[in-house]
Amino acid sequence: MTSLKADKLTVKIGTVTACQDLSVTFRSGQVWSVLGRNGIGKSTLLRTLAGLRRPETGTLLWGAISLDLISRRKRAQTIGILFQDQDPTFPATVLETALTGRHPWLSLFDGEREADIEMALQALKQLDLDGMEQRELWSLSGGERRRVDLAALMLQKTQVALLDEPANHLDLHYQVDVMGHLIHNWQQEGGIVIMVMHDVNLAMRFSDHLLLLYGDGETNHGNAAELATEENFSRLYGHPLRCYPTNGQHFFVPA
Amino acid sequence: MIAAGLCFLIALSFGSANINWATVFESFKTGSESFDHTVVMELRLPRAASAFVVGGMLALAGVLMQVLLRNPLADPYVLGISGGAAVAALLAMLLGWQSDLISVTAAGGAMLSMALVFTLARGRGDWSSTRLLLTGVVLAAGWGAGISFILAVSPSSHLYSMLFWMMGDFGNSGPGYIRCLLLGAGLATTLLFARSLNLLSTGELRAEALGVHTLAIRISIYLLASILTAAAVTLAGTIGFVGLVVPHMVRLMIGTDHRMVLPASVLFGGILLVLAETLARTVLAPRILPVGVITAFIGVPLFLYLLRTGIKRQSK
Repeated sequence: MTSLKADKLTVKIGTVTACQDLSVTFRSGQVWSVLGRNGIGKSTLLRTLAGLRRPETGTLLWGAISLDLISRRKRAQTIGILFQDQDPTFPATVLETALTGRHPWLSLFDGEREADIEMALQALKQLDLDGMEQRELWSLSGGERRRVDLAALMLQKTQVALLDEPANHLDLHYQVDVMGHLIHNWQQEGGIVIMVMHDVNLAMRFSDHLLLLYGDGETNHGNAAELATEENFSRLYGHPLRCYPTNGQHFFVPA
Repeated sequence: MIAAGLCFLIALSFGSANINWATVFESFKTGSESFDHTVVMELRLPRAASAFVVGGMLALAGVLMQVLLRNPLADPYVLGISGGAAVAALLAMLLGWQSDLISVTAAGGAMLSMALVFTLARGRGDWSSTRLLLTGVVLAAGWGAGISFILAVSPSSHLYSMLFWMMGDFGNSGPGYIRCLLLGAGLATTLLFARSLNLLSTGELRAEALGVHTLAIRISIYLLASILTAAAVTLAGTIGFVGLVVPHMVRLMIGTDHRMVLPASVLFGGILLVLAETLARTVLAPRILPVGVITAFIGVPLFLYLLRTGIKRQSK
């Protein structure tokens, strides 16, 4: 069984400590949500997990191998990340952008093959973007662009998907239905999903595990059902929250 | 490709001395020693070849700089490489050195400028586009002041050739094997990494997340673009416009995939400069105009036209 393991991980950015000596194992088939207040280092932690920046101390292990020892190409085939925003300097089409996800799987001399393009068209269709393949990125709405990025991530075919606020810009239908579908697929295929979320209820809907960042490096992680308490969330957000149980799911509402 | 061949033919056919197409063909076939033959083979051919190679190098360097700095306004000269070359070349002219020596000195100036930007921008290990751009632009401004200073203190007898050098001028020398090789090798190498360049232009972090070794690629791009620029500038002075606008024209015409943009830019930059060079010789013949002026005269309306039609196409 595959796993991404953080061993005594300390991640800092500027004067902010996202986590101190965090040891946690993300296992195949699990869906994690990282919760915490603004500016607490959630995105930085996610980038660290993606191997894009070095942790201050501690190591990341893919299976039993340190992430540092894995080649860039192999890493990009294993771990994919959805960033919060994109700021393209030069115009690009929807299809071109989606196809960037195939990059780690193509050799130096290869171009994208028919199969890659077919795959891309399918992914775009799954995200309701069919017919928009040749549209320029700048002509899309924020939500459409977000879905193009999601398509690129799907095409990367990684075992680990790191999502930085995936629900951003998406309307209710896409948040609940399309995203839910994607996350479910990942889970079914034995992947690991770790996402930074702002909406507690959406996080509870999709994830089975939580990683709570309290600030000053203090963290708590574990089973979502166990960690989701009024007390924990109120402390997390520095604002009292109430829990309302309705058929099977607990809903948290700011008091 | 065909267009490129045609342009060469045009470049060889037109000039102060009236030589028709047939004679141009003739001089290729036979090794006759006629006057026309000499003009075509020893004056016009090397100039046209130089123009093509320089145009290609500047356009390629322009594409690379725009990706490196993630700035559509970047051109081969933005980081001060041409400024360093110009200061060195003008100094050499001021001292009355031979033209061969001027090229060598200009190359030295370009390399010095390149090394300065490279080390200064490096700072504490971060090599961000903004920092690189600022370092380069400030250094370029410094070189600019240096150029003005030299022009101000130079005797008027030197001024004409100095100004001409800066506006871009092809001597009657060919591009030489080294420059041809450099352009070919540069294009081939960048083509191999064209997909990485595509990713890099969408953002450094994204490229890194997709497995691109961004630092290594960016440093290579910087070095390659600098060397190409230096090679172009030392042959023909600072011909403006080609490096900035050709990449954009190509993007407007064929899209942003660098696997297409790179070769098309080289070809198009070459063609534009061959045409500009021909016009520079013929418009006010027998006077020769600075090529840089002509590239802008052709390029500005062409670019504006493409920009308008390109935008219309996209908004449909």
